[in-house]
Amino acid sequence: MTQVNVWLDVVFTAVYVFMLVAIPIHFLISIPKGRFRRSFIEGHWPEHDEPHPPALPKYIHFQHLVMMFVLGFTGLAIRFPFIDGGRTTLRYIHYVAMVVVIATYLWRLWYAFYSSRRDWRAFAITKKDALSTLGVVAYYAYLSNNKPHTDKYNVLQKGTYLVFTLFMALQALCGFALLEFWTIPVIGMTPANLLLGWWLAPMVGGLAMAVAWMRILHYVLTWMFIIITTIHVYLSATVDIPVTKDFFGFGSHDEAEDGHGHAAVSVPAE
Amino acid sequence: MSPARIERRTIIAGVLIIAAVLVVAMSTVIAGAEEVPAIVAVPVANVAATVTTVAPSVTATNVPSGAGSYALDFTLPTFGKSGCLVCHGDRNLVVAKGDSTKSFWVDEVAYNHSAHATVVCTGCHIDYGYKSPHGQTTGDWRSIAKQSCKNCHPDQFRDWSLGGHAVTPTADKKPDPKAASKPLCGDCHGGHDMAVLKNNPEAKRQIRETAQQMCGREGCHADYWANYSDYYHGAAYKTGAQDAPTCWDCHGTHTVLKSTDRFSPTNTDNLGAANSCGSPGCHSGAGSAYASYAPMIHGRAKIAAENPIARFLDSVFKR
Repeated sequence: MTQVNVWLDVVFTAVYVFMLVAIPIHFLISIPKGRFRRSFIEGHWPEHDEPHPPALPKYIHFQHLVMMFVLGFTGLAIRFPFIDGGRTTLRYIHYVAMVVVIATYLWRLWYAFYSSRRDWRAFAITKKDALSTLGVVAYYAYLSNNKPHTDKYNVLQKGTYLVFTLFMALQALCGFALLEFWTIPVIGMTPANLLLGWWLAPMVGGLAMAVAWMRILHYVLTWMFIIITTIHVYLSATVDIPVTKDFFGFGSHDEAEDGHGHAAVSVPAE
Repeated sequence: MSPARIERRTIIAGVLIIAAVLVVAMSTVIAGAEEVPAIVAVPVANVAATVTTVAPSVTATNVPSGAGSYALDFTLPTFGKSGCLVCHGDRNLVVAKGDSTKSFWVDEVAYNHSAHATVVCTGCHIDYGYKSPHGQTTGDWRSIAKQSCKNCHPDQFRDWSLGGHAVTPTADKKPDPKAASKPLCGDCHGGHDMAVLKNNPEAKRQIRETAQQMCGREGCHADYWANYSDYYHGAAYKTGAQDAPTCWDCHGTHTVLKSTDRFSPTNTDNLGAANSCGSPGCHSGAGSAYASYAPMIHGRAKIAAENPIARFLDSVFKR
């Protein structure tokens, strides 16, 4: 366990530093490939079925953004303390943000499956999406100039959003399982005992050990969120600025003059 | 706006800025002058003058050679505090020691609020009760101090004498070579301002924050203080986390033993026990597997530095 913690720190830090170097390089490659000119100079941005993102998902997205940042910051500051006397306060902030995020998460699930504007199909990966995977990967790897268009989101987006959804549930559960000293009223058990005591604890040599492994998983998932969110921010800021601005209430993207663009995006090669 | 008016405004602004700078500078100087250091360090040449500033009924004569630096003719009662504090209540009371001076001032206010507020001076400085003036004392304050505490705290003294901080003869019955560097009760607990800990959460909180001064200072365990830097223990403790362990939470209090000692709570075989990592409020149910984390507590920096990827990256960026 000693080595695992250090390995995780080193590997994830190295990966993130690599990402921070690779992202600007990826963006710079868009200049000779003509994508930069087409988007940023000529103003050809992706077209959308809906002229504006609906208000509720926008609000939920914004709330998630703020709270996930708070969770990530406080979580890392608890693991790598640098704020004097702040651990207890950081924990309480972390708990409050966690409650807000879980509530928002459930709200978004309700919206996706049970609201009048239920949109879960937009995230479902169809066979057509699956077949487009190589094409989408090739487009973002600059190996192709045609991005297959199958739905509102491309297959990599759908996959990422689904993974994000699963990770959030897992993160909430393993975060809850870290509570060793608070007893749940009525049940009379600590969350650690309730969630881990009956299966993981016997497997790894005790409840304390099970909690330690959950803390490691919690940390790994934190890094996954940081990495995914960083890529998400990069693509939002470079691939579709109008809709990104619209998401934050700045300006609005309207339908393209040439109508809905369901055809594959094609960028003329330089 | 006319040039003359602009010029006038410029001059006024300049005067205001200079005035502000002067006010700040003056207040800094005044604040500095008001500070009185607890330990007065004055050049040796000024010591005699300093010592004789307040001594209404004590004759102090500077004696350059002999058993002590000063021959004091005591006429004051030593049973109460007031007699001693005639001299020792003066914050300027210092004695030359080499190139510097040592303060012998006793903060009467702190003393009267300490755990020993009702204990007279000679209750601890027992040799001063029957040997006076000062020059006739044994000068072996270290052994006197141990004896002083033992009189009132025999259990704690016994615990201390079983630990690594006790002065113990070597196997061949020679004096402990580390005797001079081993701590006395007061080295950890403080002196005249020793706080009341019983039913005093604030004092307990404060003493928890003194690990560096108590254990991690130079000459004691500065190296262990420096490498106490893992995520949830050392690094958290050093940023003031109240729920992070301080030195004695793991290593014990009076009976501090080396981790190689089989009775030590930090011995590898004992780490998972209920008086070590498994203490209530820490990691209940910790076993030997859990204790495998222990090397991180004082070794995180070293382990991280030895990580192959970290070493590779380090070598790349250092080129």
